[in-house]
Amino acid sequence: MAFLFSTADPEITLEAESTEQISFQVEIPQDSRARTKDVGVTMIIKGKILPDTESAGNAADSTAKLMEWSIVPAEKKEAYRSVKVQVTSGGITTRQYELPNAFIVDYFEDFTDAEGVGQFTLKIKQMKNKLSGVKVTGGFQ
Amino acid sequence: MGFRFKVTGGKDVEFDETIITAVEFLSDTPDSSNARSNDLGVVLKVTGRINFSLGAEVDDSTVELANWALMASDQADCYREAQVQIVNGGQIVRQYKYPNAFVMGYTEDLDDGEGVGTFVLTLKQKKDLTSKVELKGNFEE
Repeated sequence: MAFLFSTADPEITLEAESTEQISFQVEIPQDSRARTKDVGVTMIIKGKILPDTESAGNAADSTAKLMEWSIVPAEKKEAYRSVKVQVTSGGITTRQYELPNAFIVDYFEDFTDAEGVGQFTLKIKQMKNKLSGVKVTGGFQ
Repeated sequence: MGFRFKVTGGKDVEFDETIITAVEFLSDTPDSSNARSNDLGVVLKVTGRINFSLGAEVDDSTVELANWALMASDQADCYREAQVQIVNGGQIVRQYKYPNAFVMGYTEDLDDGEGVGTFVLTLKQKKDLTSKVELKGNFEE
């Protein structure tokens, strides 16, 4: 199983070696008495921050671009990006998630000396008033 | 993987690979927001050892971290510049620089079983100056 995470405008493509875990969550208020319009979509992407020991100075992965995205202020257009996550397994795309107006809620980077590589956790949300743009598809070649 | 941590702007202190054991970076906005929030805070958490120097040969710089944490907010040097470098195989994987950092949390744990102490320092960039934070990744030492 491999995860391909990419954003458009500006572009970030994470290497398949660095992504490890994907979570897709539809958040609906638990106390509502009937179907609510207050539906949110959150995605959590976890993975490794890899160094490159062969040619120091060259990035081994694109996670530094996530770090840069995480501090873009809300008034800038680049705070919102179109995110696509493809899950491939056995040669087919089993799932494809598309969040066309995603913004970062939280972004973590953890480093410990015992592990040798870092870990990132990216939490993104689709802009709530554009929920209908979210697409989940799957099972295609 | 090694970590270097430097604080300047009060009594300058520096910590090298033998002291720092873990680093965490967090870019934090409210989780409940409908769209990208302007309420962006950047946090840095540094964990390290308190290596009591034999015969008090070397100054224990962690004392200065404790003093910084106890400082009153009306003193100018309660805001200091903090810089963390994460180094691996000749490459600076990450460099976080917070020019106006203040202490949000500080704990020291000492344990007879381990022989050395542990400190955890949580820093935040002054929130109105979040845009002054410098984040860099993947360059040669």
